Amino acid sequence: MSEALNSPDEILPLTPAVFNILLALADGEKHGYAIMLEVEANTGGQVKMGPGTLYGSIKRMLAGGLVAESDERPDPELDDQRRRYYSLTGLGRRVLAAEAERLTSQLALAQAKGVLVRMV
Amino acid sequence: MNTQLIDSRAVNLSANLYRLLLETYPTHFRQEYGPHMLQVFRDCCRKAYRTGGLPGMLWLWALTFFDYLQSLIEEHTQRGVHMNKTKFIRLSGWAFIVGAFAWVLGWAVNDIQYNNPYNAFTFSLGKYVGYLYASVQILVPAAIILTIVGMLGLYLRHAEQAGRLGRSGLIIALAAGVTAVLSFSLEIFMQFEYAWIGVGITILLIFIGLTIFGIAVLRNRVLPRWKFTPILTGICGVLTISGLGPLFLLTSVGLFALGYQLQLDPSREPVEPV
Repeated sequence: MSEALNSPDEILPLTPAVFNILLALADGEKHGYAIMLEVEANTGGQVKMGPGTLYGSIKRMLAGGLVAESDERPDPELDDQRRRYYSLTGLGRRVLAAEAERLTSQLALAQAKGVLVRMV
Repeated sequence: MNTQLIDSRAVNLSANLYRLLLETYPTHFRQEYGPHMLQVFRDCCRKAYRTGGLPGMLWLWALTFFDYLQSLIEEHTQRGVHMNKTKFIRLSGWAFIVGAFAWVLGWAVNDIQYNNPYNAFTFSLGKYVGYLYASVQILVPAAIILTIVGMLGLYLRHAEQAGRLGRSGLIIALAAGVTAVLSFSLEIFMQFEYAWIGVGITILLIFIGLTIFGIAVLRNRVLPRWKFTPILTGICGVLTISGLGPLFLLTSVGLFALGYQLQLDPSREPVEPV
């Protein structure tokens, strides 16, 4: 993953793991296990990431500037202080939006070709 | 014994095994993310055990092992590994260790399937028992491949001191290992009727090769310690394949010990022959 991106389109298409992690972080910072659970729930159990894929992807996303480690921690009584939280960066949000737009255009194409009966 | 205690023991055992697997990742990645990966895996174990019991844990392990292999290759490849001899020998030690676990699981499942299919454990698995039996198709070839890597490490580390006999033993084991993988592929992918005979014979040859290497180790004083490990592991392996099933535990312990010794100090100078 490039460390200095001029345009979000440069790294598209995203892998399913990276796209789903970005999507899980779209509504706020989360720790690794929460990301994993959200990805599983968002995909109806179709995408199940193991710890290796999760943290391998996070490592590359940190290097690419798509996510950042969050300094803020929730109430220590509510969560384990040792957990590391991640949040979307501005670039990460733009890349996510660009990928979502790309997928939407693919979906529209599929619909135009009569592959889909109706838009989901 | 209460349920919570069993829960805790199953989770701790799984976490400890996963901690061992984490050791095979590149150092920097392991130091940065290892504790977090372990914590996430522990969370997954708790959830799997509470929602699916033992079958749930087995299923989690199947997914996690696949994830582990995939990400391990990715992390080592992306790091641009310069695989020098010492690094490879250390890695081959880990291959023996992970292979020992794969052998013991593969043999145990095989033993249950053919010798004791109707017991409390298989009944507790219910409809998931098919997954258990299918896991042999992954565990045995994985064990063979990991053992081949381990044998390569032994060859690189000790071939010179083991002499012609030792080298011959290791070459027999390596050739048999490669043939075993090919035979297994014929059996699984081509449904070749008699390929299982080839698998059995070649696995037997792996351990015969290791036994021959073990003899050379004793004759030439190749290993500084645990010098009986190769020969005992080889003999136990031969007896296991020949029908003495329970010895598979000793064989796996032997492979584990060989791996431990290889990865611990791959560059240690060997004891000079007398």
